[in-house]
Amino acid sequence: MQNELEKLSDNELFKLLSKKNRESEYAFLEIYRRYSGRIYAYCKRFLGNRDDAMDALQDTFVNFYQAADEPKEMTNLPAYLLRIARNLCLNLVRQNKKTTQLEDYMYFESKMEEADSNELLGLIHTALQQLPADYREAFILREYEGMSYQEIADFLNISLSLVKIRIFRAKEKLREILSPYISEFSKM
Amino acid sequence: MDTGNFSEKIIEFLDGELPQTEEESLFVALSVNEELRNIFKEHLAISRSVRSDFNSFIPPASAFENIAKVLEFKTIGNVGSSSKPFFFSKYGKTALLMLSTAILTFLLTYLFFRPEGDSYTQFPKAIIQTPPIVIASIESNSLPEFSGNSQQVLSSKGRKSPIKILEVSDQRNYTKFDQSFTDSFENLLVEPTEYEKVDKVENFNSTLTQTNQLMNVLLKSHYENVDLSSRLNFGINFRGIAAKTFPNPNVETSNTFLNNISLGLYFTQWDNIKFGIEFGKEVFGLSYTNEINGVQFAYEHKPALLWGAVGIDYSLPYSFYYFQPFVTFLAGGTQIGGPLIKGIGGVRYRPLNSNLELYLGAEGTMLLYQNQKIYYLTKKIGLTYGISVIF
Repeated sequence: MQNELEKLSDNELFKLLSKKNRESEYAFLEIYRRYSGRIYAYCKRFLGNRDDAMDALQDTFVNFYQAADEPKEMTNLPAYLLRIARNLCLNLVRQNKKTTQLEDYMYFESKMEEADSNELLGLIHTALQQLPADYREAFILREYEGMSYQEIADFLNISLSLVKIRIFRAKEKLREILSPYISEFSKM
Repeated sequence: MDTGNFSEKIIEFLDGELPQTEEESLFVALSVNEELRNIFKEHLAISRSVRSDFNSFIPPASAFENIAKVLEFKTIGNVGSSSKPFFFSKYGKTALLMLSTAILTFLLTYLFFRPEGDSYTQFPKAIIQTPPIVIASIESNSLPEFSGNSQQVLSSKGRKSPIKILEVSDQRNYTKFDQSFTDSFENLLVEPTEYEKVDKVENFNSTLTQTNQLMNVLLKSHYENVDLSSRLNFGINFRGIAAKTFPNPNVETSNTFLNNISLGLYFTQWDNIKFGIEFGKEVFGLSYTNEINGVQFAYEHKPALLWGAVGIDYSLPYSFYYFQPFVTFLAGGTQIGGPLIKGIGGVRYRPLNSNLELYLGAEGTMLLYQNQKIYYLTKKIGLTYGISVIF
């Protein structure tokens, strides 16, 4: 069955979900297979730690499946999932009021120790959490979700110029934080 | 030079958002300003590093299982147990079913097809027993019925029906064989003139006994003189299979051309035992999981698989009106591995002197296959039917 479902479009899969039967479970699995990575990456970058990201990922897909109770048209499934994930992430941020915890710092440190080639990546992970949430979100949508500036504007319901500003400031801030390390790495 | 303005252009350029008309001015600025080039390199290093962060896209394996649990999924979720299934819990039920079928087939054939009486006259290879020959029908009520032990005579491999042998005339002065008898033996073996006349009532029993004995001797003589090597040594069978597969995914079969058939070649080794090979194409329901980046995904297919097997066929030594029970066991493999094991039990129908044989039976199949080091089992049970050409 899974092979057959792989051929279906997002919209066709979404319509199957409302049946709430065996077929809809497999359709859900296929949607999960397609987009769980992106949603997880978004949540992880947004929230800055794995446990919260996993909670957000699970809640996103649970809410998504429960909300799919009628076979309506779905024009942009990944954006729909991202919107659910974003709302959940914002709620979590409000609840926690902190996104970088000691254990996450330790996680990034341990990741950096695991692979020298990923040292810069580890620093980026840490630096990302220093950014204001608005800037971080714009950066994540651009770099991890691969959205264009216009898509980000549509998704966040803000102007294109504001998107450019947020991305520019996010990247400039990251560059400022990481600049000394980048020059160190370039010498290696 | 406004470094901040060009820094913004660098970011837009790396994001593919800078209009082409502005690219030239950026390149010119980069060519003359080392600080800008450094900024460009730093942004490029960050972008490259972020975009190589593929690990961020792999959610924990348990995430989907948790979701499936919350949503109370019935068919997927928690599908990726990495432990190998315990052999007997997995296959015991099927093996028990096949064994029960075999025992039941044996008991049924023993109870309903076995010959009466105890005495068999064993003859050489390629001659098998018929049901007991019933003795005479006597037109006159004044004659006593035959009271001795009924004897068994042997016929050819054709496994013929019971034979009615003898009639006694009103005059009781001669014996003749019934037409059915001579038909059964191709008019070759026995002629009425070869037998004693029954002229007295008291001689009837002894005449019948002698007749039976004589007939056995004649049959033996006849079949010993037949060149058995030139006949009945091998056969080709073609059969169809109508079986349900377990699991039975609700998907279409990937290939619908010439499915659920098999072709076999069997050699007769001993009286009732044949060895052979069979090739077939059959639909099997497959259900297994794949682990991809730590996430378990369930897959279901219903492909038509080519298979090949060696087989042994045993015909039970009883027949009833041209019907003879048999059992066949096959062991082999398929395109996706194996072993493949088949058990068939049924009856054959082969009219006298015919080279064609029809058969119908129940068939059970087990296919064991492996995916990502985990073994899975598909079972099939149903009917098989076919035709054999005996050479």
